[in-house]
Amino acid sequence: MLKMNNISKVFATDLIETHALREFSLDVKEGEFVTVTGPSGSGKTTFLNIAGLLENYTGGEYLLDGQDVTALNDNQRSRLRNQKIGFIFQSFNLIPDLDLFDNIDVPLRYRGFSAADRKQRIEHALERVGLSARAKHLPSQLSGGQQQRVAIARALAGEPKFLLADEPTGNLDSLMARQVMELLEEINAEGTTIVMVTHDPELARRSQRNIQIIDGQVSDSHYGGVDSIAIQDAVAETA
Amino acid sequence: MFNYYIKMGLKNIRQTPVLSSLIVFAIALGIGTSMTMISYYQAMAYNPAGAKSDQLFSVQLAAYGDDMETWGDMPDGLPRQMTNIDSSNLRLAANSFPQSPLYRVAPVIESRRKDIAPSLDFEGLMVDRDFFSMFDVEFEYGGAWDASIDLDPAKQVVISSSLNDWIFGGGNNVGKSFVMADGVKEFTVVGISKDWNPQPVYYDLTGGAFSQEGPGLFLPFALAKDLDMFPQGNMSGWRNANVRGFADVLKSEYVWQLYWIELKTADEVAAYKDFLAQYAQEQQKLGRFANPNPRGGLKTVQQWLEYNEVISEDNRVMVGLSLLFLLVCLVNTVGLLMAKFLRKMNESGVRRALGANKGQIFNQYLVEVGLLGVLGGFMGLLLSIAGLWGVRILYRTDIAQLDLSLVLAAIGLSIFSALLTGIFPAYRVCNANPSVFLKAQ
Repeated sequence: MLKMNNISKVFATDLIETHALREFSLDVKEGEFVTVTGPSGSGKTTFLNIAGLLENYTGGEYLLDGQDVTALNDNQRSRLRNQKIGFIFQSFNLIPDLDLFDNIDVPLRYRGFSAADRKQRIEHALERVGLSARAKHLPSQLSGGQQQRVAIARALAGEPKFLLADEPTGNLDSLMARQVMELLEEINAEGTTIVMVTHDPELARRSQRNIQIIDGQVSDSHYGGVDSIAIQDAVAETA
Repeated sequence: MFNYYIKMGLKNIRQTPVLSSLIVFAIALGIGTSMTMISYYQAMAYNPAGAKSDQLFSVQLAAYGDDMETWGDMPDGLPRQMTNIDSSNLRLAANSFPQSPLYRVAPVIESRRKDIAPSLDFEGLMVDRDFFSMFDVEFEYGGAWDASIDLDPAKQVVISSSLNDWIFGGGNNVGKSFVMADGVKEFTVVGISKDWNPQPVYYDLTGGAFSQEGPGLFLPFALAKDLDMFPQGNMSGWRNANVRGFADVLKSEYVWQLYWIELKTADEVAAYKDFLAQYAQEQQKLGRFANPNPRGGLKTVQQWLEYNEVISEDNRVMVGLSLLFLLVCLVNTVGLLMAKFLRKMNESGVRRALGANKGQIFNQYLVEVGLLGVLGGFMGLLLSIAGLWGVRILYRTDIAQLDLSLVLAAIGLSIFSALLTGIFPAYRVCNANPSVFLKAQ
């Protein structure tokens, strides 16, 4: 699903070059739920931005769903992002002036779905996260957990193959965090690949695989919960 | 997507009412000022003679003595006006071209309706019969006086529709008479013209380029001596004259009349120029036109408007300044739009993450700017209306009216200007790295 080979990312100024990622390689299989951990400044966010086609990389190769994205222009990247990737952010990033219906409508508009199709998808997505009755509410009228569920609904409405989550429970209390995590696990169980950045070791343990990034490189990758070799084999078989 | 952009644009405008209002006001101020000046300039630059502009000629003669090289500061050294001696000679010269001398009078007119005091408000033009066809004066009833009246004057008159209303209360009053000029002379109405007031008043610019009211009545030029009525407007002379009454003015070398002729072909123009040259030479031989260069001049309506500086250099400068002011307003608008759009950087980042490309973000903001431009255009239009109202008060004329072209120009210019100012802010927003704005909200 996501394959990075020797990806490097250098932020260069006149005085200094900062290597955010160096020889970064990762292979995420379809249907996996991978968590990414690491200390602040280790390169997690840079990895997520590159994975989400929001930033270019300096060197290496990145295949998303089998497609090399290196030479794609902005339009092609945007279309690919819109069709295959769903984003979930720590701070929800709902558009405050739009009600829930219109927030979920945003990616569908850019996808070019018909009005009827969009409506059906939005209603289904809201139903999925249990917020059908709140379609006309503004984000500010919801709790943090509800807002994150709307963000998940927005990410799911276009039926992406790949969800990128950047500390989705970071701003939530433990109860809401657990609910959101359960929802993500449910989505993953239905076949959506998820890569989630988190600082929470408990959440990392709940994922199928956790990779740790230190100094822009994958320093550790282990399969959690159950016997890692068995999962590794199972994932290899499904790939 | 365009409808979606409009929906989002309107929502964003409502969400930032103060900033949006400031932007709209900045655009409106620039548009209102420039449109007022441009429409005033256009009104002044208008040539009301239309197709006849190249066929109607103002006639000038170098009627001055040998102590002057040129007449005043006129570029060709010719006086704008003409002596009565010359206009009387020209109108009786043997040629068949339509022509007419012209000067203005302000007679006291008595209404035939009860309880209305005599009025001095209706200006009269002393003209020959040809004037009506030359200047396309249309009639509601009757017509011009007979050609014989130009040679053998009678107390006949053509009155305007407005004067007809004032004297008689309207209707066809051809054949009826009214009292004018010191309450002793009775004039018979032979024609009732539609109100005629071309702007600028190119047929006689000596009293200013614009006039609130057109002439109320037209009198046979041949009646000048009998009427014994001093002209309104300028009267200039190159030497002192012993003027004790109007009869002396008629015989003097003072210039105070205008003279128009209609020449339809280049041959006619050339022939009349020759005639004027011969006439000037002839007059010199008779002891007049003693200057070193006795000559005549012909000017088309357009040349006449330019010669009389209907559009002054000041007006051009004012238009330039108003456009500069518009530019200043637009520069301020760029700043305000930057402030407005930078607040939306996070939203743009989210939209980019959700699949919008740079072009879609750019278009969305440009549509919002376009909407601000439309609002600015309508507000600018209101300011233009106020500005034109001010111009009408200041110049006491109803030139520079609001018309469809002004409405479309104001809104069009406003949208164009707004889009122009929106390009840079929208470009900045759409090119910002979205990941920078996604981390925190």
